[in-house]
Amino acid sequence: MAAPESGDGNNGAARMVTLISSDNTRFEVEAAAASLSQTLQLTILDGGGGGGDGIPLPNVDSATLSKVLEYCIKHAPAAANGGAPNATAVDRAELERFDNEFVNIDQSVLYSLIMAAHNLEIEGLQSLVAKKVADMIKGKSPMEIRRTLGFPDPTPEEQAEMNAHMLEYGWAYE
Amino acid sequence: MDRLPQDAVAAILARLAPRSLAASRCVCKDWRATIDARCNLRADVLPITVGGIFVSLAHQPAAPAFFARPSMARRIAGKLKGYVDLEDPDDFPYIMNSCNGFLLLYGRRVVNPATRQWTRLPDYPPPPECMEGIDYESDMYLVFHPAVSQHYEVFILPYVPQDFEFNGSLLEGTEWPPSKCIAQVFSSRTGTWEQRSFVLQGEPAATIAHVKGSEPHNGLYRHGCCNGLLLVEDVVVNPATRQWARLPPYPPVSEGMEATFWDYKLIFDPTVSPHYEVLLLPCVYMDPDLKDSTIAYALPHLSSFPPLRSPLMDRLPQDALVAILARLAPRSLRADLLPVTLGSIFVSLEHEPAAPAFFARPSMAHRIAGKLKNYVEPEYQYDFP
Repeated sequence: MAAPESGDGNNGAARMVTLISSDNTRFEVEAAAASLSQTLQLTILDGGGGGGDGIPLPNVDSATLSKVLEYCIKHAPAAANGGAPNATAVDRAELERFDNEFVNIDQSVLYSLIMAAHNLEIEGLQSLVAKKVADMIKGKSPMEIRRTLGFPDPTPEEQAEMNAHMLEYGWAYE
Repeated sequence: MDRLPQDAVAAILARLAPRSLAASRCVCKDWRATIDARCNLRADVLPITVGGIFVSLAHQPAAPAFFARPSMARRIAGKLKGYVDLEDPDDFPYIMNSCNGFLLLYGRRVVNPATRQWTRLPDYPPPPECMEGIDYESDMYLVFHPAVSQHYEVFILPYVPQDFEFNGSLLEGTEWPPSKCIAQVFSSRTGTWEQRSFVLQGEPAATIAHVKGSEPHNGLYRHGCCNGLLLVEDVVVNPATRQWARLPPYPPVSEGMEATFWDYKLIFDPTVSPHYEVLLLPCVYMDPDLKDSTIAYALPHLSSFPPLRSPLMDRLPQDALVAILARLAPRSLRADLLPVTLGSIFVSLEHEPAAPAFFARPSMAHRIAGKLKNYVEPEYQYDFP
């Protein structure tokens, strides 16, 4: 299962793979970038996704996949350096700026990204979106958290249950 | 967001501090299940906030003012008189000392305001023989830690009253505090008083003549202690490990508070967190000429004082939520008690340019570093801890 030494016709250029979104849009992307996904990595190592085949991703729509790939392309070089120990402070600051900007998005997009990051098992993206949501939760009461994250209004039973559980850690809701 | 898979929810919740985690636990059933299964949220390791603050006004015939955090107002009974019987019904409860949520009232009463339980200690024992004329009723301290024991101890230290007459072995030039300091100790385990000796480490700080009647209301000490840590000026010291750290500059005084002074309270509980916090309380000098106006000025500010919320998150054990005590006019002799077994006592002499006297139990003498100056660097050459 060793990675093939090129050999798919793109002489000298980086190896490319094709990903197909749920709505049948084809995305051609460098194998190194797509390999940030643990799910795709094995397929790609096996030589999949090259040529006209393409790897179908039935759970990810084109809008979300394009966003995910934007992240992967940006982070691939640093990931190739093994977590970028050689990266300069400037590089790291640039990535951080990119990340902050990247998750500055609508909640529906953020939701799709969380789902995609977990389906595709992209570790860095998983933790980036988790951090974003955690920041939205911090310092809020249970009701505020529900509203912020667009939960439906609680039913009377849910409300009663919330109240009961809030008594357990009363100090947390000042 | 309410339809996220458990893995995704767990990844989010794993990034939250206990306080937000506890709030998240109430958001919905799924989140609660995730937290209970995958996150380490234990009630007993949660940071606990200060539930409230009792403020006793020295020499003021009034019950202590009680300031509660909103969530605690219903859980801590601040009106002590409502449930503690006093000797004289016209009297008011006066708080002498407090420790991890328990209060020690004048009149030998120990109170848990979280449960409204209280008890009266048996009569004071007579002072030790060699201590004729020395007051063994005024300088009292409570030692209690619910994580260690349900039992508490009350310490009385010798105090030289204003009307003390030199006698026998206690002469004008007698060194004070005495090299062997006898404390009267009440243990709730045995229900009796006993004498316990502490041995002075190093040189005595002063003489009896110096400390005689050196009563309160001259100023505020800036020293504090809490469960083994000391606050000395702006330095926090752990005498058991000789570690110390200097606090950043205190924040500027808020507007309208220029005439106040700060009382510093150190909050630390090693069974809850390795972190400590320092609480600043606004106070006023108790100038007898100013009388009521002074107090009226100070207290309304205290009730809305914002730093109560920010610089401090207390770590008081949950069931004994209560309180720390800010006394506006402290006693001149101050003992800093080290629980959990009381290994030693630091005594700072007000207005005496001397390092605190340090008394240790024989078993602790080599484990707690009493000479702070040896390992804490003062800011100025002439400083003393």
